[in-house]
Amino acid sequence: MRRATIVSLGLISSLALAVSGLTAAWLAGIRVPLASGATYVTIAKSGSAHFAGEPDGTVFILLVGSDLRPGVGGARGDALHVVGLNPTLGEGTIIDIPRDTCAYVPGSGTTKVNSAHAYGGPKLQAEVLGTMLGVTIPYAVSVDFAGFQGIVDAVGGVTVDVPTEMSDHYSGAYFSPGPVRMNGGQALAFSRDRHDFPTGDIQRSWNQGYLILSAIGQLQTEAKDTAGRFELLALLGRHAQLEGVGLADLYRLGRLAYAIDTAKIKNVKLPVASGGCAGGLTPNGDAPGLLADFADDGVLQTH
Amino acid sequence: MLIVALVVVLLVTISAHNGGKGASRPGTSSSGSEGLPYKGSIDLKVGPISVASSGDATTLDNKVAEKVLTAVNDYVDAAVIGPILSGRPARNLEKLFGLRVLNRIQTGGADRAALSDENLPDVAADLEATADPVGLDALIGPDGTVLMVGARLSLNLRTETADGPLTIARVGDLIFEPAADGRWQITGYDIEVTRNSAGSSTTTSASTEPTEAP
Repeated sequence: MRRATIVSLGLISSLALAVSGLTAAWLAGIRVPLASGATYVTIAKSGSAHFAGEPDGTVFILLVGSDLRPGVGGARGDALHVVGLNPTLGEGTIIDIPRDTCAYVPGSGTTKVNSAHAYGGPKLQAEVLGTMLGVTIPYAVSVDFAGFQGIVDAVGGVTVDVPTEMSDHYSGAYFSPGPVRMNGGQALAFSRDRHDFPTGDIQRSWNQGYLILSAIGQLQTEAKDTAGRFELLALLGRHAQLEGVGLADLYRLGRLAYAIDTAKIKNVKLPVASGGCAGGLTPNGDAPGLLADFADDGVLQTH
Repeated sequence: MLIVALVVVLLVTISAHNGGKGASRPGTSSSGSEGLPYKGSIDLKVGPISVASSGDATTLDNKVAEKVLTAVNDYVDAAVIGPILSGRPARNLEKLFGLRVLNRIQTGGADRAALSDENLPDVAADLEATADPVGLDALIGPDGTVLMVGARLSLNLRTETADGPLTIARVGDLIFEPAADGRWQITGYDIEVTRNSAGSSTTTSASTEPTEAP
């Protein structure tokens, strides 16, 4: 049976799911049924998007993990990653943006960038980050805690080669270095742990990008046939809120993510230092050069 | 296995008559539906069907399946059989391929080489075809609309040329989406073709995964 053999890709964190435009449907090994009718992820296409076919130019996609969960108000964009994929060069970049980075948010002034998601959802978050990075971000994928766990579980988990020891009771991240097949709860803990690192949220943000890359790589090797890809797209169709984007668009975006070797996708932290707004961070050091390098074609040639 | 049992062996009753293509071939002026110098076609059949649905639909409507199969047959006739027998480039590609991929095909390169059989030696015997039934994978949206259909193609051709036997094995997926006029057009593909002729073997593959500049 195909479902039994095609692995449960693991998509991923719904983040990676996103990257592949959820395309990650590639998988086919849906092991845990998601709650019928529940929405786990939001995928939005902004009005400025002009993508209309096989992408032949750089595509920028925002992946957002929001902190929406029981007992926590709002839905701030606490995991922020802008992915640039260049099909011509066959390369890409993930820029990991600390949640406390300061930026101008329409209606709120200069404040922490993650507040944009609470005010205007993934579209406003994409607009604000696009301005900060100097790119147009036509696609945004947003997932909350429950959605993240649900999707990762649904696809059978995601394997992450844990780089360093993690032992954090706040997030529940307890991992030894080496490959770990993470379920939804473990993947969420891995993505939330900041207390194990001197740089806190900055390293956490990089870890999230690392998990996304792991998930994409897993997707690329474990799910390759059309039926499997359609299975995941159907899953997304049932559990994603699609705003201005259709499943066929996601299929093509997913193929784009699928086509680029993860070894050619750099995962880079945005350099920041204290300042810029109350309790916030501001891009510093080589940030302007990094962003200029990223903005022209989604690929870092000099960084 | 059932699939094996269902393998359709088709003898394409297309004779190259005087051996070869070109202006001297009889019948070049009496064309088939696509203006090709033969009237036959490969009659592929529908194979196993899978459905991935984000709504209540659990089956692929027979009419849609037939339309997609017709599109597959049209592709094989126009891009594969036609050029082999006529020696002319594939025709009417704009009817077969959606705009999303048409430019890739028209610019030549690996995509065109994998999808069509052009510039091959003149055929000098009947063309024999063996094909698996075409498996269909459908993606159906929440409202029951069939959004995309993947067609699994496995087609083997054999004939004789002045250089000796020519065999062509083509396998892969064609992705179809409905056009505005109701036809189903190819908007994606993962195709590999292996051609053996005159003691040499070449394999060409193409995919709409955008790994290189179109």
